[in-house]
Amino acid sequence: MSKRIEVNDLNVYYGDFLAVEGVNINIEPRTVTAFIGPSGCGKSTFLRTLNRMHEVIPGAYVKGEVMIDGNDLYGPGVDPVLVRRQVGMVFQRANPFPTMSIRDNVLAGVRLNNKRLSKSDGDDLVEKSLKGANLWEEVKDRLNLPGSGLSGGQQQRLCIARAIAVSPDVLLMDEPCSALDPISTLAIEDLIEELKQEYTIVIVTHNMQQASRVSDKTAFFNIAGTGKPGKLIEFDETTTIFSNPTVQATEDYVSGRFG
Amino acid sequence: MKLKNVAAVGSLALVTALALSACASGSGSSETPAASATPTTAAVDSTLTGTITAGGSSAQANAQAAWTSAFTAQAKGVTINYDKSQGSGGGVTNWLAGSYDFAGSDSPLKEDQAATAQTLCGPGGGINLPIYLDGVAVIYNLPGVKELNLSSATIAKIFSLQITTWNDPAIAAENPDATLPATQITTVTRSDGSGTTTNFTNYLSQTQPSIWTNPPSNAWPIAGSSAQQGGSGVVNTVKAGEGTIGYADHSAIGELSSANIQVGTGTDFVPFSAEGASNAFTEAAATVDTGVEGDLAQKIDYTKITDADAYPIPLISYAILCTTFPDEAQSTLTKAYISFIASEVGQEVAAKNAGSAPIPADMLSQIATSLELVK
Amino acid sequence: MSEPGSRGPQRSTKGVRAKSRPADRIFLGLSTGSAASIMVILAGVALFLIIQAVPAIMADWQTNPDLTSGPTGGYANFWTYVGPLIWGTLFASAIALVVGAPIAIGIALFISHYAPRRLAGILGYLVDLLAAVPSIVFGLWGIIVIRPFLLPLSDWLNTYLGWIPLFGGQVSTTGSTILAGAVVLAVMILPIITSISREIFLQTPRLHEEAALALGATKWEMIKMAVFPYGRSGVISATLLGLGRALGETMAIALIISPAILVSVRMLTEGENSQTIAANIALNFPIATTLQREALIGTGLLLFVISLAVNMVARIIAGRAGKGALRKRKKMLAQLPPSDPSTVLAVDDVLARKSPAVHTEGADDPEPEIDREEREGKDA
Repeated sequence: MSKRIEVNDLNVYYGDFLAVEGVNINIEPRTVTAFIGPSGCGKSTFLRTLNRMHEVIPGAYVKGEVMIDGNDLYGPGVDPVLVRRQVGMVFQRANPFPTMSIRDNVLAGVRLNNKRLSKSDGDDLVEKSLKGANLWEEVKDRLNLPGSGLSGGQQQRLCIARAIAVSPDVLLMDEPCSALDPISTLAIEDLIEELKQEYTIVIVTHNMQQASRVSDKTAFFNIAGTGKPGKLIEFDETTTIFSNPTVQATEDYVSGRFG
Repeated sequence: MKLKNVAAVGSLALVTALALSACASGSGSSETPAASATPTTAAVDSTLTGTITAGGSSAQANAQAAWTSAFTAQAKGVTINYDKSQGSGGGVTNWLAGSYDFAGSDSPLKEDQAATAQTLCGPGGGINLPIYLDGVAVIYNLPGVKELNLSSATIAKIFSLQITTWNDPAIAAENPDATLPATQITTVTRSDGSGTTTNFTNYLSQTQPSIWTNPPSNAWPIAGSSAQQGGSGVVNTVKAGEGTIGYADHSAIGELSSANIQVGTGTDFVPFSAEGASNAFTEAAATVDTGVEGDLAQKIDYTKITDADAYPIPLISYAILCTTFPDEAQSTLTKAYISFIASEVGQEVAAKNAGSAPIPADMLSQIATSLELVK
Repeated sequence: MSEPGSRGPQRSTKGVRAKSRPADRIFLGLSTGSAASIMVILAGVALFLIIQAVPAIMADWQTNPDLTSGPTGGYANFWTYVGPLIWGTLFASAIALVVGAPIAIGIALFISHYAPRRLAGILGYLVDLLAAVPSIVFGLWGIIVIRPFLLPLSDWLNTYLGWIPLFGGQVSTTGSTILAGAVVLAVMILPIITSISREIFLQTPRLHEEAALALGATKWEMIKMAVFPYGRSGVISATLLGLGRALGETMAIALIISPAILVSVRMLTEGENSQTIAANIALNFPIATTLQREALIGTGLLLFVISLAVNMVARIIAGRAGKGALRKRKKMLAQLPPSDPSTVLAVDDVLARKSPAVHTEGADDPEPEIDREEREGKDA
């Protein structure tokens, strides 16, 4: 289930514009890796290259390699659609499909792969996924109601359930708690801790406390100035990054001196 | 001298109108139209001024355009507006409402309309003057068949959908020399109400009452035909579809072949010609006594058309005007214009430009007499 | 309206507020008048139609000499005359919708989700241009191009699928069929359906699209999961607006179709094409007698009613598609035990949601625009 991510000399372009330059990083299976850095430093863009979601924007492309257990995501003939089925993603704002019920939301991804899903298999998967997202107890009586009727935190956990229902190798989270209240945030953070047992998790966050709470390793991204590409400045154990970083910019950032 | 001038003006107008009108018949030539004519009353008073507002029958429209340019070429102070967009019914309605100086109509006033006309025109009422004569052509599209002879019985059977293929024995019997294909016959008729339809159904119901059982009507009564909007719609559809047969004002059929129609029950099949239509008018048209002095509403008895030189389906269209105008100047003006139309020169102008047939001289002099009654 | 601000004491701001503004009042009067005139015009049209139509509706169609001949001849009463016309109107429009709506939605989808930006712009412009073509031009185009073009298709359909009533009967030799008319109608309603659908598809929240893509949806699967559910009600309204246009179309139908006043489902014949109300009025008005005109106006009254009904249905559907989910949810919430705390929360949530308008229903994400901006601006 959980897989290693290996990124070699990755450059990300939007047309002529170089957005992220020269990223090298190794992400171990069954870990939580946090990406931190000031706004516009390229951390979200980089995150999206891990499941090729950046390609949604016309003109976006990369140079370099992203290997998941040795398979290059950008190798010839690799279908981005299949990549995304292996690398799930949770977004900044919860985005359950508004016209679908909670149950259908959970099964949305599975149905793309496997159109014929028996009712009992579906029920089992819904329960397993919702339990995996710590949402089961709250919604088990109203699985047929629209997912948009849930609270923000519940919606975000529903999105996580939807993402893990397809059994991905990797779970990407793009500031998953930025739109949530502290209690919901806590629930998500607890969930991340549990999910780590099964998945390789990469999370982008602006909240350094969150990064230090949930992640095993932290990557600090920075940008030299407007129009310059974002770069990976430092990548290390989270404790190291927050207590004893080797780069001055990292220390300035984590200590709140800028950003 | 004066008469010669008028004729010259007529032919001049003819040339102009030919240039302008795409619908003019192909028979236009530059020979002097009135060379052999002996015009009755064609003098146009060139000092006239004013505006004539009229409208109605679209069958008359091309002729009205020719008359207008010929008339206003002499009476330069006169403007004539003839609106064909409303058709005969709309023309009469507008005239009864007092909006028109005269109406162009393919059928004379009905009884109730005549009664309404008395409130508009005073006790003298309105009069119907036959000013336009044409024929209903039976047009067809059958490659390889240049000449087609049809009797009224066969036409009635074709249009009532009793004969459905071109090689039907009834058609073959009348066309021994033609090679008739087994093609399906598609009859093409008018989808809009039309005076042409009235004349054609009138012809069918009078000549073949046992085959054609529907009463005359301005709306085509039988479902199952290809119904098209306007004479041009019928002509275009016949032109485009093989095996089609339709009916249209002769003046509008362009290059299409039209059938020779059997006169009476004899052996003569007559193609349309202007003289043929005029002969038919002389033979079969009779003035109806409507009780209105000077009214020249005609009733055509198609069964009386037996002469080998007469075209069996003539079409008459009228100018309808008040016997007493509310305004004397308007009366003078309108009378002058209708007089011009109902002159031999006027009829020649229409024949050359709109492809119509001339109204016989006898009727023209009756119209002149009627116009004298108009005040 | 304006904030009192903190410039001076309360009294002086009151004075400012009370000061009469002639321009404001004039504009208020003008705009109120304009709004009221809509009601007056609509009521006036309805009243005109009713007053004009009543004599013909009440008349005895079998004995009244004005009605027994010409276009109205041969009908037992007004209703047997107008019945087939209503059928023809609905039938022709329905075919036009079946042919046109999928193409229109396809074009809209291509413009909104497939075409490169520049091509999308050009296409959108062309579609809008199509709306500017006069219907008489469409009519002539139909006669000269579409009629002969459809002949081979008609023959084929008749030969192989003639057992289906739609394609049965004696196939036309001139192409003057209700199919040809409906195809031209379909082209005429393309622009309205396309442009509204395109706008709605473009408004699909980026979040929903990305949610689908991130699950490994292909583009088409993403469209099925995110774009269609979001735009469904809007597309239905767009289609019904197209239907409204088709119902009233006159010239093209009058020119192209060989009509007959009868109820027929055949699409390929010469003589069994059900006539539409609008074309029938146009074709027969000029020669109609007074009472016949009133009969035609009576048919116009029914067309007016049908068009209003279609418009209302369009609005109801547009509203319901958004609200339907809500209603269903309320119903299901009612089945939950009242003690369940989520019931209260969720009901509040349901009630708090306003009934959405055509353009925004389904937009559960409160600020999709902002999100998109953020998304595109981010990291750039």
